[in-house]
Amino acid sequence: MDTSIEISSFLSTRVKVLAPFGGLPLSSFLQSPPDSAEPFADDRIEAIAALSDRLMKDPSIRKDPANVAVAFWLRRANLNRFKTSHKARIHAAPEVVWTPAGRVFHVAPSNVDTLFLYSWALAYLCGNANIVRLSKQQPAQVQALLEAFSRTAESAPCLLTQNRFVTYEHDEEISGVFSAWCDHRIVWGGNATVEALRKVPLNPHASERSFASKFSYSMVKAAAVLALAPPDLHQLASACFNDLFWFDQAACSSPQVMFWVGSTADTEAASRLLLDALQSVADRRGYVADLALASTRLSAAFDLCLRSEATVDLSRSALVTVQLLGNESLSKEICGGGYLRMIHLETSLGILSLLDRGDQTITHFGFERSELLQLAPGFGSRGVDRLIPLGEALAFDPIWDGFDLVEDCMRRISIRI
Amino acid sequence: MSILSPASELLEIAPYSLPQQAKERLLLPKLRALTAHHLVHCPDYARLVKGVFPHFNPEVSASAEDLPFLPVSLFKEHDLKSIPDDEVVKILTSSGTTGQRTSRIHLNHETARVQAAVLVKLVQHFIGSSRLPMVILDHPGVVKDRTSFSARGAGILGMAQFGHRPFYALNDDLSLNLPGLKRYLDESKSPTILLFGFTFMVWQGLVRALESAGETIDLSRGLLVHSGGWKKLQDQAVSHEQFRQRLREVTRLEQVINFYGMVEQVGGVYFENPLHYLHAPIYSDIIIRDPRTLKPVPDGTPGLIQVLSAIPTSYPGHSLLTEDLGVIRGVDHPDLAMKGRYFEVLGRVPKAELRGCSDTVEPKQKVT
Repeated sequence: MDTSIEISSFLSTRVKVLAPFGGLPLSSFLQSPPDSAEPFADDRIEAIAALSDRLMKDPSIRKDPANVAVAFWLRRANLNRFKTSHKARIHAAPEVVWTPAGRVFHVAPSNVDTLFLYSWALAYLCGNANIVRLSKQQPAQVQALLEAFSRTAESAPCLLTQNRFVTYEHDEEISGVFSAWCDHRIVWGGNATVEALRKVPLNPHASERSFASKFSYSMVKAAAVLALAPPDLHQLASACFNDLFWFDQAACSSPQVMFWVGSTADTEAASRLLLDALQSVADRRGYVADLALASTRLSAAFDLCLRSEATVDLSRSALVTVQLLGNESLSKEICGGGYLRMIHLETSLGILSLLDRGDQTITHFGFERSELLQLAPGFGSRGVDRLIPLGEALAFDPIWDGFDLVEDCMRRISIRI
Repeated sequence: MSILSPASELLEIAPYSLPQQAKERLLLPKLRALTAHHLVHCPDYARLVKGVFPHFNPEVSASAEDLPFLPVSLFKEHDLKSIPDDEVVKILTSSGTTGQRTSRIHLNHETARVQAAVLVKLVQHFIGSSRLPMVILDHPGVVKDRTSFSARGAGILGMAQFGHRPFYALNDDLSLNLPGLKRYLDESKSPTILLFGFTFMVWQGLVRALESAGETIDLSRGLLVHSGGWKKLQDQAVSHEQFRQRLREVTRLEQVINFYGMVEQVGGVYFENPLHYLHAPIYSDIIIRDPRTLKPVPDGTPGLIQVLSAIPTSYPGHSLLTEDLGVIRGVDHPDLAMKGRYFEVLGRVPKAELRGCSDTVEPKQKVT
């Protein structure tokens, strides 16, 4: 029995290749050996930079700030930074030789539309061949990104031969083919996706990095907000706006709970200042909450008010805030659409008792470096692996959930004489 | 010992006889009294008002717009009631599609009594006080299990009291019992026949059934009262006008009255006026709010429907923010005998698409 023919027939009926246009059919792509590319090879950097240029010039891409962010991230200067840090990696351990892992299978999340491109770009930069699985329904902005990829691949053969962006219904058989094909599997998409993919056997030689559902916070020092001049307050509110409202507040790193650190009087005054400023940023940018989410967040606020000691503020159209007053345990459910729970703390140490291993990012404002360095060891084996400035919650970082995605996508060869 | 429902004081007044201003003068103190009542008797309600409407003071005379409201969805998660358990005589549940949670509405004797009395006043306004032969456009099984009051079953039982010899026109498999219906009509000498059913049942079980069988039936004596979500008809791109038109084509039925209501607000029933807009009777009223700012919007601007009712004393359901979108079409229309405010329901707020991290897994679908 010729299994390759059998595979090729079900792949062609059940899997749709979204990008690039042309190139080998998927079944032949699976059988071609990966390029013997070096990590951070110049032709790959140039190809991604060309994609970045195309995205930056495309007016339909430019309409969406998250697309602009990914285009900016893919620019040549940023890619060269990775190359430089790879040189530092080699310099630090000259007896280790790094080569690409080979083939990487990515399962992309659908709550953060642009994430697939970051995940792909890192693996591709490291010299790998890639299959990226996207969910069945792609929003227009993802379609625009894929279109730009295909156009760029027309004049960059290495993009065409080494990558396939595909979609298919959840299907263990197909995921099984890609999992047998790959040397490294990256599973985004939270607990349910991770659980589903874990059931799909992985090539015994392959490694896997999976990203479970996460929960994130903001932590603001009230006195620091009160000390801001109006233009600086506006700037802080703009930064906060991006954190809160991109991807409908549904990304793993979107803040769901804001800790206000300081005296009661300070936090009351400071939170009012920042939230009002946030509302004016929303008004100026013409932000309108999603109708369905506006209804969901209202229900969530009333529901929480019955479950916990809380006060609800419905006075702002951009977001519903719930001030939690008691010491009840914190639900780590995500509502989204401009729903922010707030907790007053006397000191930043107060967050420690609320953390668990599902926690990821804390965006902070107004804290000294030393205070954060003092706080972090207290996280212990629980969660939180990113303490970053307010406004950068959704900035992609190759260290994610505490794992180094770049090193994941390479193989290390140790040499001892 | 339970208090009287404030709406019972309105039962002597014809339900659509008061111009808006006069109606508000009567209704507002009752709504305020109910707010004060539930604040005292429902600790959860008091907690919500304190937490969400901290500036509300029941002592100060508030306008209807300033009264606290609860989202209807809250009744799905919480048993909110203002009576001790031993006073509960009936628990109504919403229909809800499979997998959804249903609301649980607790009634005591008084709330159930006034709700029923209000329904009588409203229905009699349209059909008069004599009991009519009645055709129910549903299958008899829907009311068999009387211990579980599904919204559909409860609605049918509520309406059945206005007819006699009710005939269920659908078979258990929801197909139309056309011979049975024809026989029932032949045997009935009454100049008017009352028909009642849920909108989609009327559409699927009567209109579509007759259309696809190529049959017609003479219901020109009929007065159809129907209610229920328009979602399934919207999916089939059927407007209210088309519904009435195609109904007329296969049944010659001219008198069709839709009504809007929800199990979460018992007795808050809005029948269509002759302009086919939904009309608020003296016991209840509506406010339209911006879905995001939650501020009341001017007449003619679409928004979320808030329903107010002077009836419920057993649970805090006198002021509810629905998940329905609507628009106020007018007040005290000079050509209408029915006074007061009227409106149109535009549809349901779309369900939030869950975009948590974990939605790359689509429902398992076995491809063969």
